Amino acid sequence: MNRRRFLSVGATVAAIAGLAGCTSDDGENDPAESDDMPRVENPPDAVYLPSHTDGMAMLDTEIAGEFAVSPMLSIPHFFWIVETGIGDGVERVDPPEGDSVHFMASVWDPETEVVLPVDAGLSIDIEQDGRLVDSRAPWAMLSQGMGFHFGDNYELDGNGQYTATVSTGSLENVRLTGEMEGRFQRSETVTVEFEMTNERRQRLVESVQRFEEERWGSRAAVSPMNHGQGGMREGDMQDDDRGEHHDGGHRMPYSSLPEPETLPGTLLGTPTFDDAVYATTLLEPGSRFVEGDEQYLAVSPRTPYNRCVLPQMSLSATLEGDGEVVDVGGLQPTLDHELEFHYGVAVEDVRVGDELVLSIDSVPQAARHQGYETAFTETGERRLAIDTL
Amino acid sequence: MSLPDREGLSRREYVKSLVAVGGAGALAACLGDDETVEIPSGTETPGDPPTRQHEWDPFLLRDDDGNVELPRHHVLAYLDLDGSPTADDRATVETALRTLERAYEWSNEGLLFTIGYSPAYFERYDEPLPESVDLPAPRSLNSLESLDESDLDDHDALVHFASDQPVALLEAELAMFGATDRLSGSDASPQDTDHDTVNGVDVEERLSDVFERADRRTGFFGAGLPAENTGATGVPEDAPIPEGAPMFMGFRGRFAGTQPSEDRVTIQEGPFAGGTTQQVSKIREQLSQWWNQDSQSIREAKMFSPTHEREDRVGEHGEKLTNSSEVADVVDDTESDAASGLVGHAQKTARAREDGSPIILRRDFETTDDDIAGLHFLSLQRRIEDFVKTREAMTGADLPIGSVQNNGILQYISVRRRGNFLVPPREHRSLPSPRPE
Repeated sequence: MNRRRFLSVGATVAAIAGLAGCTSDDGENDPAESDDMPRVENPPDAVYLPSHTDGMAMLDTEIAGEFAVSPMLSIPHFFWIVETGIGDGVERVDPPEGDSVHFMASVWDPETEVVLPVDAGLSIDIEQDGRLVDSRAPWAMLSQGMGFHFGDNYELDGNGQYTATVSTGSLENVRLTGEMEGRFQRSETVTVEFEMTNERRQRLVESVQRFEEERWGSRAAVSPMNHGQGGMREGDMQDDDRGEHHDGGHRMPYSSLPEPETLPGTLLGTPTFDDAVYATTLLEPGSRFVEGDEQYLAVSPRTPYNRCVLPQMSLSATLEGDGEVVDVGGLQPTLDHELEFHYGVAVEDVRVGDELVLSIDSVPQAARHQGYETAFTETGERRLAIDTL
Repeated sequence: MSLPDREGLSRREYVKSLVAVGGAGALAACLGDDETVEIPSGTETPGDPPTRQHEWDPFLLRDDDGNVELPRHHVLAYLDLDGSPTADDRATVETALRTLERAYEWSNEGLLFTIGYSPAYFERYDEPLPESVDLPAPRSLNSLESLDESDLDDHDALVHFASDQPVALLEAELAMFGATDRLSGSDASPQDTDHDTVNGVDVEERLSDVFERADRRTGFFGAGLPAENTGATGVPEDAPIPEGAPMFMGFRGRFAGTQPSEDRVTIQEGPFAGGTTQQVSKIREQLSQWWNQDSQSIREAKMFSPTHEREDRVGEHGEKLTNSSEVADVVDDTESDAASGLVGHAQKTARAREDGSPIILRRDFETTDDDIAGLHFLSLQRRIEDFVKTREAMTGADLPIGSVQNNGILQYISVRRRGNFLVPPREHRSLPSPRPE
């Protein structure tokens, strides 16, 4: 579905013609040709500024049990799913032909205001007049503006009232430590109503912010969105509200991780690989993360500009020192109230002069929005010399 | 429900839709649509049909690769019983079922059926079921299933009817439940259908003389039907389902080499020796992503294993897999494949095998009840615990991968209902007590 079709569910030709950013690259004004969303040709093999950022409409945030769920809408758009598990790279998914909307949900902890970047089987059903229209488990996704969230292009059936039922899934199979332990054990359900109207469709299309073409593909990222406002990293933050915003007093957080210096433990370094930053810390013996008196190695992977969490990876490590190689093994994905989302493992006897070899065995499997589909797609390893403890 | 419009539908799609509606009008339409239908008669001979109600395999067709094919049309009738069964009730039920056996050959061409009883049924008795029967109440089995009380089927009994002949199915149903029950049937009035005889045999007793039919679910199995049913919610209209695929997800399964023997799922001891347990989940299929976003390679890897995709073992709809899903050599890769970002459904589930054989016998079939694409996942196993163990292996909660994404086919299915039943051996199939003599 391109913008014209998304709007043409009842809109007028005049409205379509008045779209922002409708002209194509060479100045021709052919709606049919230039109407598909612009893409960056030959993006770098890294995080890059995309051609545009989509605006969105925020629906009401609902609290259910221990979860906060913030549902959002934006225009149907393409994204990439990750197929590195079978040795293929990323595969672009285009919106469907028929009527649809990009429906998203952010799931977060209202107590600590931290996004829960975990695939717990969240699912969303969309109904109209009691009839099921579309039902699916949306993809875990990474977007520069939205951070970690769940989303997909959900099929719709024209204008009217819709009901979306979001089922969060439970974190019972996730390693939860510190004050997170024992929480989020029960799946919760949240229901929101939303209406698709010509006006809403128009607003969603118009809220697409297209960047100047010479900036496309630059080594930069869209800033984290705040309440539906978009913005460039070094540009001015626009104050106008880009969409409705009802948050019931709860401000949806962005899924960024703490600055490396503020992470618990001794910061061993922030090596980068394929444009991801692996903030690595070592916690003192006998911390709450280990059984006995081992030390704890914690790796906190994040995007370079927004510090967006990079979940759904497989990491392992070895320690080299004194001519010996110790296989530390796989690092476990863990959610903690201080370390937040990280990969961790107990280690022993780490000394200054040792070298940590961090192996990226599998890249973040979350689907990628434009600007994130060429970065963090490669496996490999990074060495980190341990200079101070 | 109204009868489907004949125009534009293939015969097989039309009759499948008639089965979904049920009732005298549907039967009349079915008879009207076809030339003379000869349905092979049953038998009066004692000893026929088999002592095991679930002994169907010897009486089913096999495909060119030797894999057993389920009958094409299925009806699940959930029944409730008021109060405690009397000797008369037992006699009535037995007579009704024997009528079906006399009327129809015990085969895919005639009629196959089982009757099973739930934990709720047995609760009306003081004594518990014997140790040799493992029949717990149904429940959610993992974090992905949020089944609450109302999603658990606690009806007293379940009759599963199956046949390649829709006429046999519709007629048998009418005979057993009469034309007056509210659950099936079109608004059209029946014409020339006589539900007091069934395939020439008089109906003296019906199941509805004793039971009340509380729910009716239907389904289908076989190449061609999924491809013709892409209008249902959950399957995209333009889904490229191969013509040869018997299931909505596009692949053959339950190969001869990867289904257990009926013996393996038969209770071996105690008063219900010769019986089995039956687990029936209603699963919703959500296949827009599967067909419109995932590639064929990804589908092969998610259904079987990354190795299957890499070595091209599967083919478009599983036709390369002849009579086995060939998972034995990839089971041990389950954890490492998960850690690499994608793990297959068949490789995960095969972890529950014992001595190389699965411990549940799959007799599941697709459905478009309520116009939503789904699966009635019916399995037979010696103990319900065998199903629990298999489901656990399939869920893969222990694996280093997310709950649903790239985790087999979990992203595309949603369990909506579940029921557990004891399918007694034939001699105890009519309202048994927990300790029948």
